[in-house]
Amino acid sequence: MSTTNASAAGVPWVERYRPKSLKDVSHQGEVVATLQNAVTTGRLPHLLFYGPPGSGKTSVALALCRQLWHPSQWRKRVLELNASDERGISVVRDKIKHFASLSVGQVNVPAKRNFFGGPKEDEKKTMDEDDEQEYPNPPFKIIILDEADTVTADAQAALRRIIEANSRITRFILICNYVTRVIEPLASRCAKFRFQSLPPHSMKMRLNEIAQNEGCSVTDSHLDSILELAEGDMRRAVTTLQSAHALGSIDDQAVAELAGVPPASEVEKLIQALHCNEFEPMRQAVDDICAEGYAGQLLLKVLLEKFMDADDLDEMGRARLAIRIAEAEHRMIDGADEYLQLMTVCGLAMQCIQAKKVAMEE
Amino acid sequence: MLWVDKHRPSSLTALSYHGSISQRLESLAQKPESLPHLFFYGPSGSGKRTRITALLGAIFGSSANRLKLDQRTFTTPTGRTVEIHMVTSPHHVELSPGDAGNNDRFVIQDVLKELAATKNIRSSVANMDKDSQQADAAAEIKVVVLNQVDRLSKQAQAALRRTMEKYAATCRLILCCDNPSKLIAPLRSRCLGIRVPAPSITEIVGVLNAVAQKENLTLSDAFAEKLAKESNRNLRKALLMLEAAKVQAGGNQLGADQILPSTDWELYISQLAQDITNEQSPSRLMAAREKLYELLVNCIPATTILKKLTGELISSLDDSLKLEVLEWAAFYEHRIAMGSKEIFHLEAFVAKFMAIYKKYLNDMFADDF
Ligand SMILES: Nc1ncnc2c1ncn2[C@@H]1O[C@H](COP(=O)(O)OP(=O)(O)OP(=O)(O)O)[C@@H](O)[C@H]1O
Ligand SMILES: [Mg+2]
Repeated sequence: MSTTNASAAGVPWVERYRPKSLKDVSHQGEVVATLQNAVTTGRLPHLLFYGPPGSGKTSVALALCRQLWHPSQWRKRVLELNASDERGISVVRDKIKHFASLSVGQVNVPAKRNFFGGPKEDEKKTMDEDDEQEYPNPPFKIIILDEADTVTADAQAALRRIIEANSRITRFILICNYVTRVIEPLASRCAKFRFQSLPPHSMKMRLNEIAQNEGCSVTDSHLDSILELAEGDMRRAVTTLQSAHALGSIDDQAVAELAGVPPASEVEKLIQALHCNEFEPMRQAVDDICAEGYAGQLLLKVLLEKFMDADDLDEMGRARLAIRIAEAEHRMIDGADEYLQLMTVCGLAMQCIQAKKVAMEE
Repeated sequence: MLWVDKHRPSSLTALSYHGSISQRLESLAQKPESLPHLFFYGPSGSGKRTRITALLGAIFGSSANRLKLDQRTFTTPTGRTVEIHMVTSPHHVELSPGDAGNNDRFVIQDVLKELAATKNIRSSVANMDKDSQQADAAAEIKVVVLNQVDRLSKQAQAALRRTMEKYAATCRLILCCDNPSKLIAPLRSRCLGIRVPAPSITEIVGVLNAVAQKENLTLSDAFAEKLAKESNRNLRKALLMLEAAKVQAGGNQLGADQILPSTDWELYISQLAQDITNEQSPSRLMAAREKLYELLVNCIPATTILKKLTGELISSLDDSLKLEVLEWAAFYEHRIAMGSKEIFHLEAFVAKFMAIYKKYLNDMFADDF
């Protein structure tokens, strides 16, 4: 957590507090330890990072590069290709070839540079720490292929050759959310690192640091509800904290609203409607909750939790509903209409509740 | 100008309902430098666009309303030329990248990245009606509003990810859509969500009355309520219906017995629903197909057709069939979302419905004898 200078004042907190070095990274202990080791030895395999959004994958890749080379060097050493770049295979091949062939010049950055040596504006913030430090300056370049799961399978297949052809002078870091979307021959060339979603206690430390740094007063219980709703996504937690700060006074309800979670009372109304075993009230309740605009996936999640420990469902009913909810969520992700999917889940729930009632009476 | 546009509130304080959201937006506008990326979602006609416009006004002052139309042309790597239209002010750009269809990815990669990477020219946007400190901070950032992001392909959405992070210092995105599940998780993680619920019936009645007053219209409470209910809590639709009713009535009086205006396509679909409930046969199926084509040709989205049709069918069905029909509607709607030939899935749904209903009738018959 380094200094806040003027130019950083207009940056959202998520970017301002993006870990600058590996030691700033919360929780991903195993990954960080292995990479620290790589920094000291200067030896590095190809890497594959995967894990949920906001768990620090991109940050770790960038922090690693920052630690390997002096700020004036690392830009020449690192090529970042992400989904916002055209990644047709011929483009990638050309870019990588070009990058690999560029000479990096003499690697004679003095380990300690004069404090007033005049680095560029954007390097200032890391300078005071970094100049105390020696850089391993390993003799290779790094290509970060971020969001690799959006590269088509064909292009991935072609990448195998590219990786091999350039492996003497370049190391690849592949980053993705779903490891299954990276083809096996490519994945097997890399050391794989799974990024876990962050548990509340390790997010809490980081959030407290940020809050302190920004002069934002937040009570412990609010912090806890922010963390709970962030579901292990550090980025979401930081954004929520900042928004809560911008809104001035915060309470639990406001925090829940920021996360878009339906209040218990609304969910309860829907559940009640499921119990009356009539179509119209059920439809009305679903209409109402949809009109409130809650995200369908979130509603499914809340319903699943409710159903799993509801006494008015038997084992069979729970199982059927769990399967149906999974299917509905899958379809929603495919882009299907939220309302229709939600209706079918609620319709089935109504049937299952009724079935148990009938069974009990017999 | 339509009443919907004419009476659109232009500032956060003028917004009539969802006071807490307006308040929240007001606080965010106070500190434009720390504005996160925003994601507005909520049912159609709930007032998302209006709120976004009002928010921009609160951040940038009146110059955010100096709009002009703009257009970019660019060439895809495969050599096709694509045009994209946008609305710009000195501070913001608004576009619907989904308009580019299959080329939406290139809009994000080319146009958007370029927009995000270029800074605003500060001096020309000095703002008189804001205190200078806030205006200064505001002048540093540029806002890009992306409408209907639910229409963006997964590829195009992925292309937004690093762009949103890299240029966060100068460029904030406001994403807007009806269907939040269609936004990929990594994008949702990058935004602060702003949920805009549909206004309640009472709130809609309030807005209708206010508009009626401005237009010198005598609107009876009963009819206002009818309009609000018929609109399904869609304010835009309610206002359009109000205006249509006035044209129908031909005067300035809208009494309780005024007939509700309904759109042609809705009538057409209820007719279709009746047709296939009355008779299940191959010739009816052919006729239904014609009707579905007609609707699609008139640019009614397939999902809208299917939902409306299901609604109509279900309301006249026996309870025992409702869930089954619903189940199939959900099934075929998913198919529509996945595939390209919409007509196939609509037709399949109609055929399925006929089969279910015919079987039901036959079983009833069999029971009687
Ligand atoms: N482990 C972590 N320690 C500290 N901060 C983190 C961590 N993970 C995420 N963050 C915060 O979240 C922000 C986003 O992290 P990052 O870009 O690394 O996520 P990601 O894993 O690449 O996500 P995505 O899959 O969405 O690209 C960072 O700027 C930082 O503020
Ligand atoms: Mg990332």
